[in-house]
Amino acid sequence: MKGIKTSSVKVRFFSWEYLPLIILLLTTLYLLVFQGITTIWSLGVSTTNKTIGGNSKFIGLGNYIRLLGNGSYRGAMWFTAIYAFLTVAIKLVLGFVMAIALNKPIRGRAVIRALMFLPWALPTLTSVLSWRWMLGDVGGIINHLLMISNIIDSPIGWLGDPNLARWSVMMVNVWRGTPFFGISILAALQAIPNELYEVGDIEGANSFQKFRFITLPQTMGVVLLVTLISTIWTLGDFSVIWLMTRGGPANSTHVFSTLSYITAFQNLQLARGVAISMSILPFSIILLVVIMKQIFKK
Amino acid sequence: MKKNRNIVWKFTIAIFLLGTMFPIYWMSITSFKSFQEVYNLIPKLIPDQLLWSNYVDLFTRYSFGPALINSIIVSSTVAVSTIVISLYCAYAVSRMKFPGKEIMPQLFLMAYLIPRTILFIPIYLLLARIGLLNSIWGLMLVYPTITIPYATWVLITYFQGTPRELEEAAEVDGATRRQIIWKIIFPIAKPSLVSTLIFSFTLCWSEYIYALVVINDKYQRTITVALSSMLVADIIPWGSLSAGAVICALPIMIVYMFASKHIVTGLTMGSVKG
Repeated sequence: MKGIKTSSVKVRFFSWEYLPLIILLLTTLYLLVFQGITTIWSLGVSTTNKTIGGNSKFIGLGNYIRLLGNGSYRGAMWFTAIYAFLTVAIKLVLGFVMAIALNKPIRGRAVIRALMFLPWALPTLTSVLSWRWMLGDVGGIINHLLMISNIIDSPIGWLGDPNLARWSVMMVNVWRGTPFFGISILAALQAIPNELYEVGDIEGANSFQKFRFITLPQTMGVVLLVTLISTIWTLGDFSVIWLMTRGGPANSTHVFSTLSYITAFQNLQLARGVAISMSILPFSIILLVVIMKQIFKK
Repeated sequence: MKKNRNIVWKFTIAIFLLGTMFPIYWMSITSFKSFQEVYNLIPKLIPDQLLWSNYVDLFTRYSFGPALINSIIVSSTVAVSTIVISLYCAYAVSRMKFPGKEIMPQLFLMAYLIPRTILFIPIYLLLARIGLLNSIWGLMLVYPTITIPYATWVLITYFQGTPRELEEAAEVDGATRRQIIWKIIFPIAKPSLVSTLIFSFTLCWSEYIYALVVINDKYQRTITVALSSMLVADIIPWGSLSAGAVICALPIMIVYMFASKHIVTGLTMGSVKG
């Protein structure tokens, strides 16, 4: 009896029932190899003096120490910080205004909303090209408009002057990133129950008080999350700056990512480039941890 | 008072709309201008005539054709395979039991958020080692590191929010796992799958930094690299570049017209909803 039962149970090493688990396992391994192990490996590379096509020797923290004494590295450190801080702050404010405006009952709201979110959906390349062309000193529409309205006398080299170039790349980043704040905050606004505002009305709250004591606390969670996510993306931004200015003029708009690209692929100092790109790793890890805590707090 | 305030909001919206739409309008209109008109010192808001010559130039003089084909191949292959793989992964995470199940959503979200600018040199070294530099195969191997984490994360949150009664009933009736996934879950999750498919496609379609470091060859590069390489000329061909930028934006605009709701869900990553 017992013997019959055992023989009827088939021992199978593979079953279609487990296909999802197998795919999950392979996918996790794939991600670990391409993201986890490569990161650790490249931390290793950054402690050598490897060049493209050259040999490598262990030099410990040599790259990092030498970088700290390097003017363009410190410049990139400054501008990465300013770029991330200022653009995220401006995007947050503009995104909030955008969300509140879109939450008002206006005719054609659905279409307006879709149009306003377009900059976020378009490829970065498209938006950067269009802004770079508008800011151009030959045939650029912005200079032309400023000149016919008598604000300036002669064309401005928007991307030729270090300070103007910094503001220009930040403006493009803001233009592209504001809708992400707008959509997310709008969703949060729409989730606020109307009764709260009715209570506010009964108690005689003015619109500022309603904003301060109802809107802000109710949207806080989403605002925090979106700000953190945008910060991590902005810290790692490459395309906007590289396509606008390539870090110029006179290295004024370099951030870590563009400087690391130039160091690794144009000066061929691979290990040094890795060290530069790794500079945002500690901040990214901190941000990731906070984001995880915020999302998975239940 | 109330009316005044309404006007203020309408004005705000008008400013936002102008700021959003003008750059898009300007690029589109430039792509149809003649060479003389593009470089005229006094730009025309509305051109005299609309010409296709910039588009023709883009394909004949700047060999945009191969790049366009490469981008289409890479983006659609990666997007479709991402959806199938992520469907299984998200199913396993949200419906099956295994050790370490709780940390899987975190893992996928983290993989999606980690900046590409940390990984691009290591990825380059890795592809160099396995001999896949300079080929779209290399890109197709790497792009799922962007799309799979995103798609799986969105689908996990979707599955966790859907009731399982149907699946349980099917299980009682003796349905196999494959039948449950394709006959029950797939049809229900279709809208969610479509939006992740679209968003995965656009992630690959607009990807720049990996494509820039992985590919040098003129016939293997994708549209973003092909266009950005036109920026280094002495006189930047803005007419053709605008044409390229329009083509680059076109699939997204088209999808946007028909499914802007899907895209918006995709853009907020489904997570930021509440």
